[in-house]
Amino acid sequence: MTAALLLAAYVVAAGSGGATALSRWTWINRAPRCGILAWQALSFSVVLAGFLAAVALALPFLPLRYAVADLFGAHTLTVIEHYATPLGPWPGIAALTVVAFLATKLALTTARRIRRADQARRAQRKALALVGHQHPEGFIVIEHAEPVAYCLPGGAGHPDRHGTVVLSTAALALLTDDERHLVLGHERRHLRARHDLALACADALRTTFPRVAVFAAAHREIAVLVEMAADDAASTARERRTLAQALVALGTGTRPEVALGASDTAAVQRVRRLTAPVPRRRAGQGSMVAAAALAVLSLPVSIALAPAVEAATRDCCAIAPLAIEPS
Amino acid sequence: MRQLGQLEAAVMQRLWSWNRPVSVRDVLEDLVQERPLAYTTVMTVMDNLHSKGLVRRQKHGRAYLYAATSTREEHTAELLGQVLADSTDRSATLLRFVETLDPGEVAQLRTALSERAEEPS
Repeated sequence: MTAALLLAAYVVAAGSGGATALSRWTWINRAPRCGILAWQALSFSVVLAGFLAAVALALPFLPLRYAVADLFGAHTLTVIEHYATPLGPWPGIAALTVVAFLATKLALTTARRIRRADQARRAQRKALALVGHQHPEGFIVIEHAEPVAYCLPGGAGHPDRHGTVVLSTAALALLTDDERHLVLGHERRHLRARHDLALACADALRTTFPRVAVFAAAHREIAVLVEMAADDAASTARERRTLAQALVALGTGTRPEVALGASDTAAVQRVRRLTAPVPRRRAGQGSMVAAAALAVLSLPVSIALAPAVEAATRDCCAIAPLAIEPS
Repeated sequence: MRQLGQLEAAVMQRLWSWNRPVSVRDVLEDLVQERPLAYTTVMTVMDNLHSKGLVRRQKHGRAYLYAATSTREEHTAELLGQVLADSTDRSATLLRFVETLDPGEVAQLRTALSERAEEPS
C-alpha cells in the first residue's frame, strides 16, 4: 500500500509543483525541442503515476500479481502481502474504477477535440478554395486588410495531406522578400514537425483534467516552445534578426478591436530570443534531457515495483516454510 | 469531386467579379475560354452552389439568374474571424505565426529590436 500512497503523493506533488520546477530551467528556451520533450515527459509521468497507483492498490487481486512475482522470483503470497491494504480489496476496486472512468474521459475528450479540429479545418479549406488564390511560391493568399500568416495542418486521410500555409494580402505587402521566406519556412516547419499533434495532446490533457496545474502549464509552455522551435528551424544565425522583424511587423498590424485580454508574452519572448546572440548548444544537452525524461518516466514505475523487489529479497529466507503450505 | 470543387470556386470568382445576376449560359461562355465544359456541368455546379446557400437565384423568363449571396470580402472576413478566434484559445486547429500584439508589447518589441541593432552579432 505504501507504493500506492507514494505514487498518489507523486501525482499531487508533480501535478501541482512540477510546473514550477520545470519553468525554472531557463535553458529550455535555448533548446526548445528539448523543452517540448521535457514537458511531455513530465505530463506523461503524472498520468503514468496515477495509473500505477491504482494498479498497485489492486495488485493483490489482479492476475498481474503472478507475472510480477515471476519477474522478481518472489513468491506470489509475499508479493500480495507487500501490496495488501488493511481495508481489503475495496481501495483497489475503487481506485481501478476511478482510473477507468478518467481514462474513458480522456479518450472521449481527445476524440471530440480531434473531430472538432477536423471539422474546423474542413470548413477553412472549403472557404479557402472559394476566396483564396494559389501563390507561385506554394501558399494560399487571401485578400484582407489584416496582416495574418498561419498554417492549416493536414494529416493522413486529408485531401491536403501536407497542410497549407495561408498569408493575407496585407501580410504580403508588409513583409520584405527575405522576411516572407522566413515566415513561410517557420509555418512549413510547424506542418512538417506536426506541432499541431503536440499541442492537441497537451490540450486534451488540459481540458480533461482542468485542476491539474502541470497540464495547463505544459500546454501553455509547449505552445510557446513549438513557435521557438519553428523559429530556430526556419532561420540561420544571420537570419534571426530578419525573422524578428517579420514577427514585429506582423504582430503590430492594426486591428479595430484588440480583444485579447492577456498580454501575449510569447511574441516578446521570441523577439528577445531572436535578437539576442545566437544560443550556443552545449554538447550533450540533448542526451542530458533524454536522461532526465527517462528518469522522470521511470520514477513512477520504480515506486510501483519497489515492494515487489523488496518481497523478492525477503523471500530468500521465507521461501522454505511457504513452499510446504497448501496453496 | 475535387474537380467539382475547383469549378465551384471558378464560378464564384466570376459571380463576385461581375457583381450582377447572370445566367448559366453567361458563366459557361466565360468558362469555356479556359476549358471545354458542358452546359449541364455548369448547371449542376450552380445548382450545388444554390443548395449550399452561396448563391441565390431568380426566375427570369425560362432560365434562372444567379447572384452571390454575400461578397468575397464577407467570406474572407468570416474565414479570418475563425482564425482570430481560434488562435486565442489555441485549440490547435491552426497555428498562427504571431498574435496581434497590444501597444505595451509593441513598445517593448521595438526597443528590443533597436537596442540590439548596434550590438555586434
